[in-house]
Amino acid sequence: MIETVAPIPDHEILFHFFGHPDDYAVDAQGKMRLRSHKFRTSHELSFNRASIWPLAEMLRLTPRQFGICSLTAAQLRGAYDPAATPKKQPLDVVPAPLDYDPLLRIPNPSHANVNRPLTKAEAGRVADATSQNIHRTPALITAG
Amino acid sequence: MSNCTEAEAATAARPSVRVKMVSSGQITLRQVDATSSLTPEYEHARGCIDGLVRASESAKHYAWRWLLTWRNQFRSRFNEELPAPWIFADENGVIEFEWHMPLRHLVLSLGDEVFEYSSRSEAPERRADEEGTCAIDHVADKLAWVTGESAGG
Repeated sequence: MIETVAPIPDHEILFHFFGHPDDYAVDAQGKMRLRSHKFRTSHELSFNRASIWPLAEMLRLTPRQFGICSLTAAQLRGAYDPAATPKKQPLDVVPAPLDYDPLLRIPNPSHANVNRPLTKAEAGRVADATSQNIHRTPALITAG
Repeated sequence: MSNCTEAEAATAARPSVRVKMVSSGQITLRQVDATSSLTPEYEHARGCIDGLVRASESAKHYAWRWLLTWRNQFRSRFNEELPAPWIFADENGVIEFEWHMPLRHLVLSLGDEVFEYSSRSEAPERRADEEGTCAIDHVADKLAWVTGESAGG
């Protein structure tokens, strides 16, 4: 039997964690932005689906040292520009539930992966979108 | 991490430039401390560089020196202030400057020998992505492009 996985709809909100202080900045006017190349990772870029874990659940489950930002699946897919990079396959995000999420330390049914590494320009577009939707900034954790 | 020497780093901490001074109808050149005329945005940028966790002290001096150099070049060329960039550091401690204008974007990674860049135009008639390496001499042209002072990058 072939198991089919329903595609993630364009309107789905996708949450992403950020935590390192060099990955985000605040300008002189107090506006925050995420580092563009943060989304160009050597490992799979992943998100958490709001249809499974809404924002309130994400805020409850995520360790306080991480901030939470988001974009829609349509914005992620729209970061691909076929005219600019015609040899690349279109971007997509696919469900990838985890039996154990090493960051949250619990099973994660909302986990989803991007189908390929982003180009630098695509990563910039994802940073543009997620920087507009920062739901929580990371708490600075002091040692000791 | 950086090819910035100790002497260069010390210079970078308090760079100076020659500026034209107009007094009683006479133009004279005077050496001034470039940091003495920083706008609040550049004061903020300096604080952002100083606050980076991943970057070494020499990388911070190197980045600050280049930022002031490009700012001065831009001012000389266009008689305008170069917008201060967003400032980050990657996992290897390489400092990244990002300029985000309404339709043009530029990310510059300040490595040792060459600068890596990625640029994108979001103009409806010409959406275009580009990435590669950039000789130091060509950074000014990239900055002119992202700020809309020139059509080509």
